[in-house]
Amino acid sequence: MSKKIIFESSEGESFEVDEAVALECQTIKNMIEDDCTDGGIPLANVNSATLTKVIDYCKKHVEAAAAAEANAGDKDIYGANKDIELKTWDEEFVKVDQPLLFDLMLAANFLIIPGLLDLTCKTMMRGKTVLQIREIFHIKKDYTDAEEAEVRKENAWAFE
Amino acid sequence: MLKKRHGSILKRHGSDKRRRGSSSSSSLSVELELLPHDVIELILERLPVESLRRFRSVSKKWISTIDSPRFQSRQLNLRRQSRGHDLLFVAYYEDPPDDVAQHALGSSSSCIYRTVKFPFPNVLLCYGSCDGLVCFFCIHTPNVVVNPATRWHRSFPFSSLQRLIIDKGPPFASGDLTYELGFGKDKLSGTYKPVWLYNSSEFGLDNVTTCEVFDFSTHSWRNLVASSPYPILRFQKPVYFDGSLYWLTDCVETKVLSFDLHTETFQVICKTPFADAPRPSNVVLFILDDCLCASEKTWPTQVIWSLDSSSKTWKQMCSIDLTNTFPLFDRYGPIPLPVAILEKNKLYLHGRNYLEPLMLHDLNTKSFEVVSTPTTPGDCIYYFESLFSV
Repeated sequence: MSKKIIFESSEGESFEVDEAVALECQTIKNMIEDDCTDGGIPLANVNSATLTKVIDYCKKHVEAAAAAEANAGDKDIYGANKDIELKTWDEEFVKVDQPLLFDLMLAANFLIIPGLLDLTCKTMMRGKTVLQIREIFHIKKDYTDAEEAEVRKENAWAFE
Repeated sequence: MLKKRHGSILKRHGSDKRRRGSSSSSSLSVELELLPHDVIELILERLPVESLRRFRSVSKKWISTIDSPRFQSRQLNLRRQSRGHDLLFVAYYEDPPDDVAQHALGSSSSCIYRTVKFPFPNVLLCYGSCDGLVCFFCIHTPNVVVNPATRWHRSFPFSSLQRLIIDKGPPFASGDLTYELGFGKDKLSGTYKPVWLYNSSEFGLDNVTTCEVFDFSTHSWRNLVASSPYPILRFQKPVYFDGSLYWLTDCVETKVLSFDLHTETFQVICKTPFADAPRPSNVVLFILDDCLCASEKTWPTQVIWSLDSSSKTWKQMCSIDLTNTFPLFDRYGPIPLPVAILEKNKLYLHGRNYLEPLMLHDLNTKSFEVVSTPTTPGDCIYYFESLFSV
Protein backbone atom coordinates (compact mmCIF):
# COMPACT_ATOMS: atom_id res chain seq x y z
CA MET A 1 0.00 0.00 0.00
CA SER A 2 1.27 3.44 -0.87
CA LYS A 3 2.19 5.90 1.82
CA LYS A 4 -0.50 8.38 2.85
CA ILE A 5 -0.13 12.06 3.61
CA ILE A 6 -2.61 13.97 5.72
CA PHE A 7 -3.53 17.58 4.97
CA GLU A 8 -5.46 19.71 7.39
CA SER A 9 -7.55 22.57 6.03
CA SER A 10 -7.97 25.96 7.70
CA GLU A 11 -11.21 24.66 9.26
CA GLY A 12 -9.29 21.78 10.84
CA GLU A 13 -10.69 19.12 8.54
CA SER A 14 -8.31 16.26 7.66
CA PHE A 15 -7.76 15.01 4.10
CA GLU A 16 -5.85 11.79 3.48
CA VAL A 17 -4.13 11.49 0.10
CA ASP A 18 -1.61 9.16 -1.55
CA GLU A 19 1.93 10.40 -1.32
CA ALA A 20 2.12 10.43 -5.13
CA VAL A 21 -0.75 12.95 -5.21
CA ALA A 22 0.84 15.14 -2.53
CA LEU A 23 4.11 15.14 -4.51
CA GLU A 24 2.39 17.22 -7.19
CA CYS A 25 2.86 20.13 -4.77
CA GLN A 26 6.50 21.23 -4.80
CA THR A 27 6.17 22.68 -1.29
CA ILE A 28 4.94 19.35 0.07
CA LYS A 29 7.53 17.44 -1.96
CA ASN A 30 10.27 19.39 -0.20
CA MET A 31 8.69 18.66 3.17
CA ILE A 32 8.43 14.94 2.36
CA GLU A 33 12.08 14.92 1.32
CA ASP A 34 12.97 16.63 4.60
CA ASP A 35 10.87 13.99 6.31
CA CYS A 36 8.71 16.41 8.23
CA THR A 37 5.21 15.33 7.26
CA ASP A 38 4.52 12.97 10.12
CA GLY A 39 1.32 13.76 11.88
CA GLY A 40 -0.12 15.68 8.96
CA ILE A 41 0.41 19.03 7.30
CA PRO A 42 -1.72 21.92 8.53
CA LEU A 43 -2.60 24.33 5.72
CA ALA A 44 -3.74 27.35 7.67
CA ASN A 45 -4.60 29.39 4.59
CA VAL A 46 -6.37 26.80 2.44
CA ASN A 47 -10.02 26.15 3.27
CA SER A 48 -11.75 22.78 2.83
CA ALA A 49 -13.58 23.70 -0.39
CA THR A 50 -10.34 24.82 -2.02
CA LEU A 51 -8.33 21.91 -0.68
CA THR A 52 -10.90 19.43 -2.05
CA LYS A 53 -10.49 20.98 -5.50
CA VAL A 54 -6.69 21.08 -5.26
CA ILE A 55 -6.59 17.38 -4.35
CA ASP A 56 -8.94 16.59 -7.27
CA TYR A 57 -6.61 18.41 -9.61
CA CYS A 58 -3.48 16.64 -8.32
CA LYS A 59 -5.16 13.22 -8.44
CA LYS A 60 -6.30 13.74 -12.01
CA HIS A 61 -2.85 14.84 -13.14
CA VAL A 62 -1.08 11.97 -11.39
CA GLU A 63 -3.47 9.52 -13.08
CA ALA A 64 -3.01 11.18 -16.48
CA ALA A 65 0.77 11.12 -16.14
CA ALA A 66 0.68 7.43 -15.15
CA ALA A 67 -1.54 6.65 -18.15
CA ALA A 68 0.71 8.58 -20.51
CA GLU A 69 3.74 6.76 -19.13
CA ALA A 70 2.06 3.40 -19.62
CA ASN A 71 1.16 4.30 -23.20
CA ALA A 72 4.17 6.06 -24.59
CA GLY A 73 6.91 5.50 -22.07
CA ASP A 74 8.06 9.07 -22.38
CA LYS A 75 7.45 12.11 -20.29
CA ASP A 76 7.66 15.59 -21.67
CA ILE A 77 8.27 18.87 -19.92
CA TYR A 78 5.22 20.03 -18.11
CA GLY A 79 2.30 20.79 -20.37
CA ALA A 80 4.16 20.13 -23.59
CA ASN A 81 2.39 16.98 -24.50
CA LYS A 82 -0.93 16.89 -22.70
CA ASP A 83 -3.65 15.01 -24.40
CA ILE A 84 -6.87 16.66 -25.38
CA GLU A 85 -8.87 14.80 -22.75
CA LEU A 86 -6.82 16.29 -19.91
CA LYS A 87 -7.12 19.76 -21.43
CA THR A 88 -10.88 19.41 -21.56
CA TRP A 89 -10.89 18.20 -17.97
CA ASP A 90 -8.81 21.22 -16.94
CA GLU A 91 -11.21 23.59 -18.69
CA GLU A 92 -14.16 22.06 -16.85
CA PHE A 93 -12.21 22.08 -13.60
CA VAL A 94 -11.83 25.88 -13.58
CA LYS A 95 -15.47 26.59 -14.37
CA VAL A 96 -15.96 27.92 -10.85
CA ASP A 97 -16.91 31.31 -9.41
CA GLN A 98 -14.32 34.07 -9.19
CA PRO A 99 -13.72 33.78 -5.39
CA LEU A 100 -12.97 30.04 -5.60
CA LEU A 101 -10.81 30.58 -8.69
CA PHE A 102 -8.89 33.19 -6.75
CA ASP A 103 -8.46 30.84 -3.77
CA LEU A 104 -7.26 28.08 -6.09
CA MET A 105 -4.70 30.45 -7.61
CA LEU A 106 -3.34 31.43 -4.20
CA ALA A 107 -3.27 27.79 -3.07
CA ALA A 108 -1.44 26.77 -6.25
CA ASN A 109 1.08 29.55 -5.71
CA PHE A 110 1.65 28.64 -2.12
CA LEU A 111 1.77 24.85 -2.58
CA ILE A 112 3.78 25.38 -5.80
CA ILE A 113 1.69 23.49 -8.35
CA PRO A 114 2.89 25.14 -11.60
CA GLY A 115 0.19 23.64 -13.83
CA LEU A 116 -2.66 24.73 -11.59
CA LEU A 117 -1.14 28.18 -11.10
CA ASP A 118 -0.86 28.65 -14.84
CA LEU A 119 -4.38 27.38 -15.44
CA THR A 120 -6.03 29.59 -12.80
CA CYS A 121 -4.10 32.75 -13.76
CA LYS A 122 -4.96 32.40 -17.43
CA THR A 123 -8.60 31.58 -16.71
CA MET A 124 -8.93 34.55 -14.38
CA MET A 125 -7.76 37.03 -17.01
CA ARG A 126 -9.02 35.45 -20.21
CA GLY A 127 -11.15 37.70 -22.39
CA LYS A 128 -11.27 40.47 -19.79
CA THR A 129 -11.42 44.10 -20.82
CA VAL A 130 -9.33 46.77 -19.14
CA LEU A 131 -12.45 48.05 -17.37
CA GLN A 132 -13.31 44.58 -16.08
CA ILE A 133 -9.75 44.14 -14.83
CA ARG A 134 -9.94 47.44 -12.93
CA GLU A 135 -13.23 46.32 -11.43
CA ILE A 136 -12.05 42.83 -10.42
CA PHE A 137 -8.82 44.06 -8.86
CA HIS A 138 -10.30 47.32 -7.58
CA ILE A 139 -7.67 49.37 -9.32
CA LYS A 140 -8.25 53.09 -9.57
CA LYS A 141 -7.59 54.55 -12.99
CA ASP A 142 -4.54 56.75 -12.42
CA TYR A 143 -4.15 57.80 -16.05
CA THR A 144 -5.60 61.06 -17.29
CA ASP A 145 -7.86 60.55 -20.29
CA ALA A 146 -5.12 61.91 -22.55
CA GLU A 147 -2.50 59.56 -21.07
CA GLU A 148 -4.82 56.61 -21.42
CA ALA A 149 -5.56 57.49 -25.02
CA GLU A 150 -1.80 57.65 -25.65
CA VAL A 151 -1.21 54.16 -24.19
CA ARG A 152 -4.15 52.81 -26.14
CA LYS A 153 -2.66 54.27 -29.28
CA GLU A 154 0.60 52.43 -28.61
CA ASN A 155 -1.43 49.27 -28.17
CA ALA A 156 -3.63 49.99 -31.16
CA TRP A 157 -2.89 46.72 -32.95
CA ALA A 158 -3.89 44.78 -29.81
CA PHE A 159 -7.45 46.04 -30.23
CA GLU A 160 -7.70 44.93 -33.82
CA MET B 1 -3.80 14.67 17.42
CA LEU B 2 -2.07 16.39 14.52
CA LYS B 3 1.09 18.25 15.17
CA LYS B 4 1.18 21.77 13.78
CA ARG B 5 4.88 22.14 13.27
CA HIS B 6 4.53 23.77 9.88
CA GLY B 7 1.71 26.03 10.79
CA SER B 8 3.85 29.10 10.78
CA ILE B 9 5.69 28.21 7.59
CA LEU B 10 2.53 27.49 5.69
CA LYS B 11 0.88 30.79 6.50
CA ARG B 12 1.75 33.47 4.07
CA HIS B 13 -0.90 35.61 2.56
CA GLY B 14 -1.54 38.49 4.89
CA SER B 15 -4.98 39.22 3.59
CA ASP B 16 -6.06 35.70 4.24
CA LYS B 17 -7.61 36.01 7.65
CA ARG B 18 -9.93 38.74 6.53
CA ARG B 19 -10.99 36.82 3.48
CA ARG B 20 -11.98 33.56 5.11
CA GLY B 21 -15.51 32.95 6.21
CA SER B 22 -17.06 35.16 3.62
CA SER B 23 -17.68 34.02 0.11
CA SER B 24 -19.78 36.85 -1.24
CA SER B 25 -18.22 38.48 -4.23
CA SER B 26 -18.57 41.98 -2.85
CA SER B 27 -16.34 41.30 0.15
CA LEU B 28 -13.94 39.49 -2.15
CA SER B 29 -13.53 42.60 -4.27
CA VAL B 30 -12.60 44.53 -1.17
CA GLU B 31 -9.94 41.93 -0.47
CA LEU B 32 -8.68 41.85 -4.04
CA GLU B 33 -7.88 45.47 -3.78
CA LEU B 34 -5.35 44.44 -1.14
CA LEU B 35 -3.73 41.95 -3.46
CA PRO B 36 0.00 42.52 -3.22
CA HIS B 37 1.58 43.62 -6.47
CA ASP B 38 3.90 40.59 -6.50
CA VAL B 39 0.82 38.35 -6.77
CA ILE B 40 -0.44 40.56 -9.64
CA GLU B 41 2.93 40.06 -11.34
CA LEU B 42 2.62 36.34 -10.78
CA ILE B 43 -0.65 36.36 -12.69
CA LEU B 44 0.52 38.72 -15.43
CA GLU B 45 3.72 36.87 -16.29
CA ARG B 46 1.63 33.85 -17.30
CA LEU B 47 -0.48 35.73 -19.83
CA PRO B 48 -0.07 35.88 -23.60
CA VAL B 49 1.59 38.94 -25.11
CA GLU B 50 -1.62 40.20 -26.66
CA SER B 51 -3.37 40.43 -23.27
CA LEU B 52 -0.36 42.08 -21.70
CA ARG B 53 -0.23 44.75 -24.39
CA ARG B 54 -3.88 45.48 -23.66
CA PHE B 55 -3.43 45.51 -19.88
CA ARG B 56 -0.77 48.21 -20.15
CA SER B 57 -3.67 50.65 -20.01
CA VAL B 58 -4.98 49.34 -16.67
CA SER B 59 -2.77 51.59 -14.50
CA LYS B 60 0.63 53.23 -14.25
CA LYS B 61 1.84 50.47 -11.98
CA TRP B 62 0.77 47.81 -14.45
CA ILE B 63 2.43 49.50 -17.41
CA SER B 64 5.71 49.92 -15.55
CA THR B 65 5.61 46.23 -14.62
CA ILE B 66 4.78 45.05 -18.14
CA ASP B 67 7.43 47.28 -19.71
CA SER B 68 10.22 46.25 -17.30
CA PRO B 69 12.99 44.00 -18.71
CA ARG B 70 12.89 41.76 -15.64
CA PHE B 71 9.19 41.07 -16.13
CA GLN B 72 9.64 40.54 -19.86
CA SER B 73 12.36 37.92 -19.24
CA ARG B 74 10.21 36.09 -16.74
CA GLN B 75 7.26 36.14 -19.12
CA LEU B 76 9.38 34.65 -21.93
CA ASN B 77 10.88 31.98 -19.65
CA LEU B 78 7.45 30.88 -18.48
CA ARG B 79 6.20 30.84 -22.05
CA ARG B 80 9.17 28.62 -23.01
CA GLN B 81 8.49 26.23 -20.15
CA SER B 82 4.78 25.97 -20.77
CA ARG B 83 5.03 24.55 -24.29
CA GLY B 84 7.27 24.33 -27.34
CA HIS B 85 7.88 26.98 -29.96
CA ASP B 86 5.37 28.19 -32.50
CA LEU B 87 5.96 28.39 -36.22
CA LEU B 88 5.65 31.61 -38.11
CA PHE B 89 5.25 31.62 -41.86
CA VAL B 90 6.43 35.06 -42.94
CA ALA B 91 4.83 35.98 -46.25
CA TYR B 92 6.94 38.26 -48.41
CA TYR B 93 4.52 39.69 -50.94
CA GLU B 94 0.85 39.38 -50.08
CA ASP B 95 -1.26 39.29 -46.96
CA PRO B 96 -2.36 35.76 -46.13
CA PRO B 97 -6.01 34.85 -46.61
CA ASP B 98 -7.88 34.90 -43.30
CA ASP B 99 -8.69 31.21 -43.27
CA VAL B 100 -5.04 30.14 -43.27
CA ALA B 101 -3.87 32.76 -40.82
CA GLN B 102 -3.52 30.44 -37.82
CA HIS B 103 -3.95 26.83 -36.81
CA ALA B 104 -2.55 24.33 -34.32
CA LEU B 105 -0.13 21.61 -35.37
CA GLY B 106 -0.42 18.11 -33.94
CA SER B 107 -3.12 16.63 -31.77
CA SER B 108 -1.73 18.13 -28.57
CA SER B 109 -2.08 21.55 -30.25
CA SER B 110 1.08 22.64 -28.46
CA CYS B 111 2.49 24.33 -31.55
CA ILE B 112 0.70 27.12 -33.40
CA TYR B 113 1.39 27.69 -37.09
CA ARG B 114 0.70 31.28 -38.00
CA THR B 115 1.00 33.18 -41.25
CA VAL B 116 1.97 36.83 -41.10
CA LYS B 117 2.89 39.63 -43.46
CA PHE B 118 4.85 42.61 -42.19
CA PRO B 119 4.67 46.02 -43.79
CA PHE B 120 8.33 45.87 -44.89
CA PRO B 121 9.48 45.38 -48.44
CA ASN B 122 12.48 43.28 -47.38
CA VAL B 123 12.37 39.83 -48.83
CA LEU B 124 14.91 37.92 -46.79
CA LEU B 125 14.67 36.73 -43.24
CA CYS B 126 17.37 35.57 -40.84
CA TYR B 127 17.10 31.99 -39.65
CA GLY B 128 14.79 31.41 -36.68
CA SER B 129 14.25 33.94 -33.94
CA CYS B 130 15.95 35.20 -30.82
CA ASP B 131 13.90 36.09 -27.72
CA GLY B 132 10.85 36.51 -29.93
CA LEU B 133 12.63 38.89 -32.32
CA VAL B 134 13.08 38.27 -36.03
CA CYS B 135 15.34 40.09 -38.45
CA PHE B 136 14.81 41.09 -42.09
CA PHE B 137 17.40 42.16 -44.63
CA CYS B 138 17.89 42.75 -48.35
CA ILE B 139 19.76 45.20 -50.57
CA HIS B 140 16.90 47.51 -51.41
CA THR B 141 15.72 48.81 -48.04
CA PRO B 142 17.42 49.04 -44.64
CA ASN B 143 17.52 45.99 -42.41
CA VAL B 144 14.89 45.75 -39.70
CA VAL B 145 14.45 43.80 -36.48
CA VAL B 146 10.83 43.06 -35.60
CA ASN B 147 8.86 41.66 -32.71
CA PRO B 148 5.94 39.92 -34.47
CA ALA B 149 3.90 39.75 -31.25
CA THR B 150 4.04 43.44 -30.34
CA ARG B 151 4.78 44.81 -33.83
CA TRP B 152 7.66 46.75 -32.35
CA HIS B 153 10.42 47.26 -34.94
CA ARG B 154 13.71 49.05 -35.45
CA SER B 155 15.57 49.67 -38.70
CA PHE B 156 19.32 49.57 -39.04
CA PRO B 157 21.53 50.64 -41.95
CA PHE B 158 23.24 48.66 -44.69
CA SER B 159 26.57 47.01 -43.86
CA SER B 160 29.67 47.43 -46.01
CA LEU B 161 28.84 44.15 -47.74
CA GLN B 162 25.39 45.36 -48.65
CA ARG B 163 26.85 48.65 -49.93
CA LEU B 164 29.45 46.77 -51.96
CA ILE B 165 26.76 44.72 -53.61
CA ILE B 166 24.59 47.75 -54.24
CA ASP B 167 27.53 49.69 -55.72
CA LYS B 168 28.50 46.83 -58.01
CA GLY B 169 25.02 46.85 -59.42
CA PRO B 170 23.73 44.10 -61.70
CA PRO B 171 24.36 41.24 -62.01
CA PHE B 172 25.46 41.27 -58.36
CA ALA B 173 22.51 43.21 -57.09
CA SER B 174 19.89 41.61 -59.25
CA GLY B 175 19.79 38.05 -57.94
CA ASP B 176 19.66 36.57 -54.51
CA LEU B 177 22.26 37.51 -51.97
CA THR B 178 25.07 34.97 -51.97
CA TYR B 179 25.46 35.40 -48.21
CA GLU B 180 22.81 35.82 -45.57
CA LEU B 181 22.65 37.82 -42.36
CA GLY B 182 22.88 36.15 -38.95
CA PHE B 183 21.01 37.45 -35.92
CA GLY B 184 21.64 36.40 -32.33
CA LYS B 185 22.33 37.45 -28.79
CA ASP B 186 25.40 37.77 -26.62
CA LYS B 187 23.98 35.85 -23.69
CA LEU B 188 26.35 37.36 -21.12
CA SER B 189 25.72 41.01 -21.88
CA GLY B 190 22.20 40.49 -23.26
CA THR B 191 22.93 42.49 -26.43
CA TYR B 192 21.57 41.52 -29.82
CA LYS B 193 23.96 41.32 -32.75
CA PRO B 194 23.29 41.10 -36.47
CA VAL B 195 26.38 39.54 -38.10
CA TRP B 196 27.54 39.33 -41.72
CA LEU B 197 30.19 36.80 -42.63
CA TYR B 198 31.38 36.41 -46.22
CA ASN B 199 34.29 35.09 -48.24
CA SER B 200 36.72 37.98 -48.79
CA SER B 201 38.10 36.85 -52.14
CA GLU B 202 34.84 37.53 -53.98
CA PHE B 203 35.04 41.16 -52.96
CA GLY B 204 38.81 41.60 -53.26
CA LEU B 205 39.28 41.94 -49.50
CA ASP B 206 41.97 40.63 -47.15
CA ASN B 207 41.75 37.49 -44.97
CA VAL B 208 39.77 34.37 -45.76
CA THR B 209 36.50 35.83 -44.57
CA THR B 210 35.25 39.27 -43.60
CA CYS B 211 32.98 39.75 -40.62
CA GLU B 212 30.82 42.74 -39.73
CA VAL B 213 28.86 43.11 -36.51
CA PHE B 214 26.11 45.65 -35.93
CA ASP B 215 26.11 47.44 -32.60
CA PHE B 216 22.65 48.69 -31.58
CA SER B 217 24.12 50.92 -28.84
CA THR B 218 26.15 52.99 -31.32
CA HIS B 219 23.80 52.21 -34.21
CA SER B 220 26.70 51.36 -36.50
CA TRP B 221 28.48 48.42 -38.12
CA ARG B 222 32.02 47.54 -37.16
CA ASN B 223 34.51 45.29 -38.93
CA LEU B 224 36.03 42.48 -36.95
CA VAL B 225 39.68 41.55 -37.14
CA ALA B 226 38.79 37.94 -36.40
CA SER B 227 38.36 35.79 -39.46
CA SER B 228 37.27 32.24 -40.12
CA PRO B 229 40.10 29.81 -41.00
CA TYR B 230 38.00 28.48 -43.89
CA PRO B 231 35.75 30.09 -46.46
CA ILE B 232 32.06 29.50 -45.81
CA LEU B 233 29.49 27.73 -47.93
CA ARG B 234 27.35 30.18 -49.87
CA PHE B 235 23.55 30.37 -49.85
CA GLN B 236 23.29 29.29 -46.21
CA LYS B 237 21.39 30.96 -43.41
CA PRO B 238 23.60 31.32 -40.33
CA VAL B 239 21.87 29.55 -37.44
CA TYR B 240 21.66 31.12 -34.00
CA PHE B 241 21.85 28.68 -31.12
CA ASP B 242 22.64 29.26 -27.46
CA GLY B 243 24.84 32.36 -27.72
CA SER B 244 26.60 31.51 -30.98
CA LEU B 245 26.02 31.67 -34.72
CA TYR B 246 26.83 28.66 -36.91
CA TRP B 247 27.88 28.29 -40.55
CA LEU B 248 29.03 25.43 -42.79
CA THR B 249 32.51 25.81 -44.26
CA ASP B 250 33.42 25.37 -47.90
CA CYS B 251 36.56 23.20 -47.78
CA VAL B 252 37.76 19.62 -47.86
CA GLU B 253 35.72 17.86 -45.17
CA THR B 254 32.96 20.44 -44.67
CA LYS B 255 33.01 21.67 -41.10
CA VAL B 256 30.74 23.48 -38.67
CA LEU B 257 32.02 26.94 -37.80
CA SER B 258 30.81 28.80 -34.74
CA PHE B 259 31.02 32.45 -33.81
CA ASP B 260 30.71 33.19 -30.11
CA LEU B 261 28.64 36.37 -29.90
CA HIS B 262 30.23 37.35 -26.58
CA THR B 263 33.94 36.82 -27.26
CA GLU B 264 33.45 37.50 -31.00
CA THR B 265 35.78 34.67 -31.94
CA PHE B 266 35.48 31.91 -34.51
CA GLN B 267 35.96 28.26 -33.78
CA VAL B 268 35.71 25.13 -35.88
CA ILE B 269 33.40 22.89 -33.91
CA CYS B 270 33.56 19.60 -35.79
CA LYS B 271 33.29 17.94 -39.17
CA THR B 272 29.86 17.63 -40.70
CA PRO B 273 28.35 14.16 -41.08
CA PHE B 274 28.06 14.51 -44.86
CA ALA B 275 30.40 14.18 -47.77
CA ASP B 276 32.93 16.70 -49.06
CA ALA B 277 31.94 19.80 -50.94
CA PRO B 278 28.19 19.31 -50.90
CA ARG B 279 26.03 21.39 -53.20
CA PRO B 280 24.86 24.29 -51.02
CA SER B 281 21.24 23.62 -51.93
CA ASN B 282 21.48 20.02 -50.68
CA VAL B 283 22.59 20.72 -47.12
CA VAL B 284 21.21 22.81 -44.28
CA LEU B 285 21.87 23.64 -40.62
CA PHE B 286 18.91 24.21 -38.31
CA ILE B 287 17.50 23.78 -34.81
CA LEU B 288 15.20 20.91 -33.96
CA ASP B 289 14.06 20.01 -30.45
CA ASP B 290 16.52 22.50 -28.95
CA CYS B 291 19.48 20.87 -30.69
CA LEU B 292 21.76 22.00 -33.50
CA CYS B 293 21.04 19.71 -36.44
CA ALA B 294 22.29 19.19 -39.98
CA SER B 295 20.63 17.57 -42.93
CA GLU B 296 21.67 16.43 -46.38
CA LYS B 297 19.55 15.48 -49.35
CA THR B 298 20.76 12.91 -51.85
CA TRP B 299 17.60 12.31 -53.80
CA PRO B 300 15.44 10.54 -52.83
CA THR B 301 16.95 10.33 -49.34
CA GLN B 302 17.15 13.11 -46.75
CA VAL B 303 19.12 12.32 -43.60
CA ILE B 304 18.91 14.37 -40.39
CA TRP B 305 21.62 14.36 -37.72
CA SER B 306 21.64 16.08 -34.35
CA LEU B 307 24.80 17.32 -32.68
CA ASP B 308 25.60 16.27 -29.14
CA SER B 309 26.83 19.57 -27.76
CA SER B 310 29.21 18.14 -25.18
CA SER B 311 30.90 15.37 -27.18
CA LYS B 312 30.59 17.24 -30.52
CA THR B 313 29.48 14.08 -32.24
CA TRP B 314 26.62 13.60 -34.69
CA LYS B 315 23.82 11.18 -34.13
CA GLN B 316 21.53 10.20 -36.98
CA MET B 317 17.98 11.16 -36.06
CA CYS B 318 16.22 9.81 -39.12
CA SER B 319 16.47 9.02 -42.79
CA ILE B 320 13.55 10.06 -44.94
CA ASP B 321 12.50 8.73 -48.31
CA LEU B 322 11.30 11.75 -50.26
CA THR B 323 10.03 9.76 -53.26
CA ASN B 324 6.37 10.32 -52.37
CA THR B 325 6.83 14.06 -51.86
CA PHE B 326 7.45 14.55 -55.57
CA PRO B 327 6.23 16.74 -57.24
CA LEU B 328 5.20 18.83 -54.20
CA PHE B 329 8.85 19.16 -53.30
CA ASP B 330 11.04 19.79 -56.34
CA ARG B 331 13.59 16.95 -56.51
CA TYR B 332 16.18 19.38 -57.88
CA GLY B 333 15.17 22.19 -55.54
CA PRO B 334 16.73 23.15 -52.20
CA ILE B 335 16.60 20.63 -49.37
CA PRO B 336 13.32 20.86 -47.42
CA LEU B 337 13.86 22.52 -44.04
CA PRO B 338 12.88 20.50 -40.94
CA VAL B 339 11.05 23.06 -38.80
CA ALA B 340 9.57 21.10 -35.90
CA ILE B 341 9.25 17.65 -34.44
CA LEU B 342 6.14 17.05 -32.36
CA GLU B 343 5.07 14.06 -30.29
CA LYS B 344 8.43 12.37 -30.95
CA ASN B 345 7.60 11.17 -34.45
CA LYS B 346 5.78 13.94 -36.32
CA LEU B 347 8.34 15.79 -38.38
CA TYR B 348 7.35 18.99 -40.15
CA LEU B 349 9.24 19.79 -43.34
CA HIS B 350 8.97 23.09 -45.13
CA GLY B 351 9.79 23.28 -48.82
CA ARG B 352 12.06 26.22 -49.54
CA ASN B 353 11.34 26.51 -53.22
CA TYR B 354 8.71 28.86 -54.63
CA LEU B 355 5.31 28.07 -53.01
CA GLU B 356 6.31 24.65 -51.72
CA PRO B 357 4.11 23.37 -48.87
CA LEU B 358 4.64 22.59 -45.22
CA MET B 359 4.44 18.81 -44.95
CA LEU B 360 4.00 16.45 -42.04
CA HIS B 361 6.08 13.30 -42.17
CA ASP B 362 5.23 10.55 -39.72
CA LEU B 363 8.52 8.86 -38.79
CA ASN B 364 6.74 5.66 -37.78
CA THR B 365 4.35 5.14 -40.66
CA LYS B 366 6.64 6.96 -43.18
CA SER B 367 3.60 8.77 -44.58
CA PHE B 368 3.46 12.34 -45.87
CA GLU B 369 0.63 14.81 -45.55
CA VAL B 370 0.32 18.42 -46.72
CA VAL B 371 -0.29 20.71 -43.75
CA SER B 372 -0.38 24.05 -45.48
CA THR B 373 0.30 25.39 -48.94
CA PRO B 374 1.43 29.00 -49.04
CA THR B 375 -0.25 31.35 -51.46
CA THR B 376 2.73 33.68 -51.45
CA PRO B 377 6.49 33.10 -51.13
CA GLY B 378 7.85 33.22 -47.60
CA ASP B 379 10.01 31.65 -44.94
CA CYS B 380 9.04 29.41 -42.08
CA ILE B 381 10.67 30.17 -38.73
CA TYR B 382 10.39 28.83 -35.20
CA TYR B 383 9.55 31.40 -32.60
CA PHE B 384 8.35 32.20 -29.08
CA GLU B 385 6.11 35.20 -28.44
CA SER B 386 7.73 37.84 -26.26
CA LEU B 387 7.51 41.49 -25.21
CA PHE B 388 11.16 42.13 -26.12
CA SER B 389 12.57 45.03 -28.06
CA VAL B 390 16.13 46.21 -28.74
